[in-house]
Amino acid sequence: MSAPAFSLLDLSNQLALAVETAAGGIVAVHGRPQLASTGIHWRDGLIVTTNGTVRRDEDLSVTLPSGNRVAAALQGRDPSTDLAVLTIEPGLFPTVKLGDPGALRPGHLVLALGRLDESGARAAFGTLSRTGGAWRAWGRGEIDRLVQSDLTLYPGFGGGPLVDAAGQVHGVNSGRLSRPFTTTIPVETVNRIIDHLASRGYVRRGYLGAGMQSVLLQPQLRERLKLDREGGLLLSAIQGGSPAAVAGLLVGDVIIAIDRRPVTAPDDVLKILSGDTAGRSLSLDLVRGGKLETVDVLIGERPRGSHS
Amino acid sequence: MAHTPESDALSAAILASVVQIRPDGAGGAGVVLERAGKTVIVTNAHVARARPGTPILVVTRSGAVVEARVERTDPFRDLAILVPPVDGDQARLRPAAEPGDISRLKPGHLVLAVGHPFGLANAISMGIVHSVGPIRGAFQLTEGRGQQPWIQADIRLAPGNSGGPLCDAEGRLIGINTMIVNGLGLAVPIPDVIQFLQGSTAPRHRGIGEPSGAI
Repeated sequence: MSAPAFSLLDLSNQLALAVETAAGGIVAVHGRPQLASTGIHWRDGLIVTTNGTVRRDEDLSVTLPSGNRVAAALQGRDPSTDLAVLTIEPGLFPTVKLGDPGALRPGHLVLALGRLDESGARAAFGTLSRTGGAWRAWGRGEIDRLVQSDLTLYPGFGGGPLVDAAGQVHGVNSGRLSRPFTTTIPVETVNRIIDHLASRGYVRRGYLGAGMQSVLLQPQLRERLKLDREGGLLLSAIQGGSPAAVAGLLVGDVIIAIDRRPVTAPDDVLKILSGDTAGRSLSLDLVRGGKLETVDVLIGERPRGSHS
Repeated sequence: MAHTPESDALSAAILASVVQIRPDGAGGAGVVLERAGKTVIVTNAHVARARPGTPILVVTRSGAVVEARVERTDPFRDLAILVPPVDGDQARLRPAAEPGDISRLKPGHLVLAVGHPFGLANAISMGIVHSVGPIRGAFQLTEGRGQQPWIQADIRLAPGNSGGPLCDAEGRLIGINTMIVNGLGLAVPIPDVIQFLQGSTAPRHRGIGEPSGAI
């Protein structure tokens, strides 16, 4: 019989080493009553955690791997991706080593880490279950990649890292986005949100102020208007005073393109608005009363805290 | 886990010392240990559920049914010792390998549990060490039990695992699986089990902030 390719003891020691490596950059975040949550020392002086676990804006502190507790300040939050960024004094302890979530495959062994207090890091073990392309959280924020695992997020593990067998961090585990699988906000998304928050304290998203739904256009109408596309977005509500109302959009208008890009689902509009569109004028092609019209809309900034 | 001669040997070694206690249902598991040259069975007090002297049916790994007697229980630490009555029965019980060194146990180390979850005899599950020490967090155990050291494991356990062994990646006994709290498996660490085996009760560990007696 040939010798085993690996021994269980080697794997055991490798996993413990991975925990120890990553735990050197993991803190407990004290930002809610009773139970702390977990935070990641992402860049020097910058702690990332989940927005849902930071319940207050002031009187924040973190417990470092050394057990020392230091003051922290809220730099900003993005409810739409469930991320919050805190600042602490730089140079106190190492940052984590970031991995490439694009290299993760279903079946890879993964760990979740948590820190609740000065009693040391805690760990959970599992398997990467699913990966995929960009998706939208129900908070409407764009998440660059789907990363889901069968890890158990124990109380206080929210905001903690997804760690691979080499101790590299691939993202932030979000309890709020995790049902039924544990969902991780990948490195790319965290970096993007950190950059937004560093410049403004929040993430700016475009705002139209209209409710809409997908509809199919009548074949006779399409023929008459010489439209090659089958559907558009029927406006079903216009918020008073919103950019849509100011531009004169009406309930019953069917948007077929924004800046010449065809739109057939509300998600298409959200994608366009999630770029840096606030303050810009976009031209909307629409069908109104059986005729084609183009209306320019000065895109506003979505009210903060709004999820829609 | 890949099928290797090593994994075969490991499971065989761990399974050999595991017994079923009260196989008629609502029972649990136990581990055969050696004390002063004689074999005894350690399990949870909540699995034994009987006063000292009470006979309890135990099924060995080989399928033999042994009538053991409760020697001692410690409800606080949830441990019990059962003693097989005759030498003939003792011969059919195989003691567990050497106890492991829990001082070297860190979060992330692999652990294996053997028990009879929901009556499924001799099932093995694998997980990792979550933390070693008193219970922290959003829940409390009554009467200071949370202040005792526990091996807390991220491992799938169920009723029927109680009293069974938690082992390290080398198959060495590191604890007795005792309860599931918030999904975590809690095991009494082997040093406390050994002290219970030799003394009258398992040690009580005073927690931080717990009031002391008159001094």
